[in-house]
Amino acid sequence: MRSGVILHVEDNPSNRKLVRDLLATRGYRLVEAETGEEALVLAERERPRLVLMDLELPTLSGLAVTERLRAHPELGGVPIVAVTALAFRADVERAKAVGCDAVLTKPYDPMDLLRLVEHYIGPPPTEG
Amino acid sequence: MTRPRVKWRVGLPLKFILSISALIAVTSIGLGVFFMQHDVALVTVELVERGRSLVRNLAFNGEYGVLIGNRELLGTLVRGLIQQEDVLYVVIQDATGAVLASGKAEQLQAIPPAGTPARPWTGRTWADLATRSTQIDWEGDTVYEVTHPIRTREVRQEREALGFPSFPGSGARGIQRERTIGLARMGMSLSVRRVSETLAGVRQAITLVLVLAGLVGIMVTVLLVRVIVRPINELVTGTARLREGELDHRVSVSSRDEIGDLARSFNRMAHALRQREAELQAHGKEMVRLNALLTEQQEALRRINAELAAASRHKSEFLANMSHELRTPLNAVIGFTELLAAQTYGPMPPRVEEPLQEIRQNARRLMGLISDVLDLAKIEAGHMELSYAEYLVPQVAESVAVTVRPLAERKGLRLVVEVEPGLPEGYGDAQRITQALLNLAGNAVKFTEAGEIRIRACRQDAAFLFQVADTGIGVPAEVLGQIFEPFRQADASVTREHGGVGLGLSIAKRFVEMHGGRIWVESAPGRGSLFAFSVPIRAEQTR
Repeated sequence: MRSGVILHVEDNPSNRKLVRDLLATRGYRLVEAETGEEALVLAERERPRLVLMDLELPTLSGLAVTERLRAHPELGGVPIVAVTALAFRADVERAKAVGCDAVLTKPYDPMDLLRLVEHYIGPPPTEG
Repeated sequence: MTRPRVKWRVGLPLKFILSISALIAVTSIGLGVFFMQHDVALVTVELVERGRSLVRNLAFNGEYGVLIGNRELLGTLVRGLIQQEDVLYVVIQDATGAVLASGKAEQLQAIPPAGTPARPWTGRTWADLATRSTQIDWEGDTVYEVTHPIRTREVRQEREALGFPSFPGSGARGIQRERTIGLARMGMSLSVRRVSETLAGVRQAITLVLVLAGLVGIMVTVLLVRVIVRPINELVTGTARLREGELDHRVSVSSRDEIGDLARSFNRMAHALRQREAELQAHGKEMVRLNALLTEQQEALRRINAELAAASRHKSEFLANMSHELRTPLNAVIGFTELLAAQTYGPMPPRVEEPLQEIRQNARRLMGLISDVLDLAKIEAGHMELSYAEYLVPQVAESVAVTVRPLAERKGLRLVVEVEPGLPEGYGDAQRITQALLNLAGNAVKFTEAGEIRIRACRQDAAFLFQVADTGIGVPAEVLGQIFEPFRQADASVTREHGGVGLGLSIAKRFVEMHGGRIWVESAPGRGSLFAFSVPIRAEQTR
């Protein structure tokens, strides 16, 4: 049984705030991780419905975290959207290969991000 | 000594002995035959001569017997002659041809009758015209017949008859007249004993000659072996030793003849081989040295290559990092600007709206610039790969038109898109072709203030031809040649006025060329421009 929470993994504070503010406008619940290790702990605890994954993380990369999540018996099916500044075609293909459902290239149009979120978890829960 | 192995080898000494023996044998037989014939001829002449002498005597001695017709006397004469071993028969006949007495040797069966066909005797004889000699073939043997007429002398005392006195001591006096009264015939033949004695002598002589010639032959062979065979054997040994690699070996033959010439030539050859080998060894050393040098240089090249590859890798990593470093803050800039514009943080004062639009536009332009620089860098580093697939030209044109139309309409320009109907399916990287056409169309919009932009796509042989015609400011002739080079635009004021750094044409050129196509421009200032490119309908994958 999954919660309605979205897990955002991102090491850049500005971009974390951007996503936080963006999703807050629609009322989505969000947990944030700064590192890959933290992301794994939070995923285990929060059981998110969607993961927004920055691929370039300091120690444990987004690709590695994605691989581990995909190998997890209960979290294996969670949708993962890679959000990356790596624009080479090979990077996109590598992300898809480890199991990302979609790849969003930075800089992205905030509306595109909202559309992707809606596509994977549906419209936000109405307040109240 | 090693000899070449030959079947049925016949050495020179044996050949010498055989040929000298043959020579001696032929010579001896020839000599023998000659001497035999010569000796037999001599013996025959002797025989005939004896026969002539005997028959003359017989004719003389038989005169009286014939005159008086005393056969008994004549028989005695005949019997005496018959006892001679070389006398075959004796016949005495009178003038009429009647046989007065005859006798024959025991081995003879019959006396050849007078008139038996005969050949004249051709051997030498002493002049005696009265005696005739002939050869008769009789009973398988050659019989030498000698005849002499039997004559008698009638002396008439002519002086006395004429009444002359006779002179004292004058001998025969008067006229002598000879009259033939008969014929003495004798058959002679070579006795077996005489012939065999003769032949024995010849045989002895031949044997002597053979022995002498044999000795001479052996001496000649020994000499030839010394002079020819030994030096040749030494040369054979020499060649074998050269073959084994003993290039310092020399033969010690020094005779002043052809064999000596051969030996000297051989020694010169060995000397030349020795020198050649020395040169080859020197060359070999040089080769080894050059090889080592080559290996060293290859190693250096490999090092340089590795360094270059590392440099290239570093460049790629630098690009990737720069991409990340630039895009991440730009993402925040663009994102927050959008949130502000969407009034996420509350209503915006109207006077802030215009600067906010400026931020949005410039942030997007910066984004495009980063993308262009990265694209160009990737292409130049060889990292850009096309993804080939089937595509449709109308979709490419439509996609470009959708993007460009709002910009064109904002500037009051008319956008016309013409696609030839019924074009075949293309094969290539549709995204890159679209981008190339978009860059041309975007430029056209950027540099045209009034009029229209016309996008055309049609087929030209095995290629698609894309054209973008505008009614803009045109391109000066002096920049036409370099307009597809990075960071080239007509002049600095244009850049200032229209923005952008002109990477679009460079990128379009690279994409077209990666498809195996070409790109060009026709333009003059003030008369608009026609940018065009062609790509093969089915582009071949280069890798």
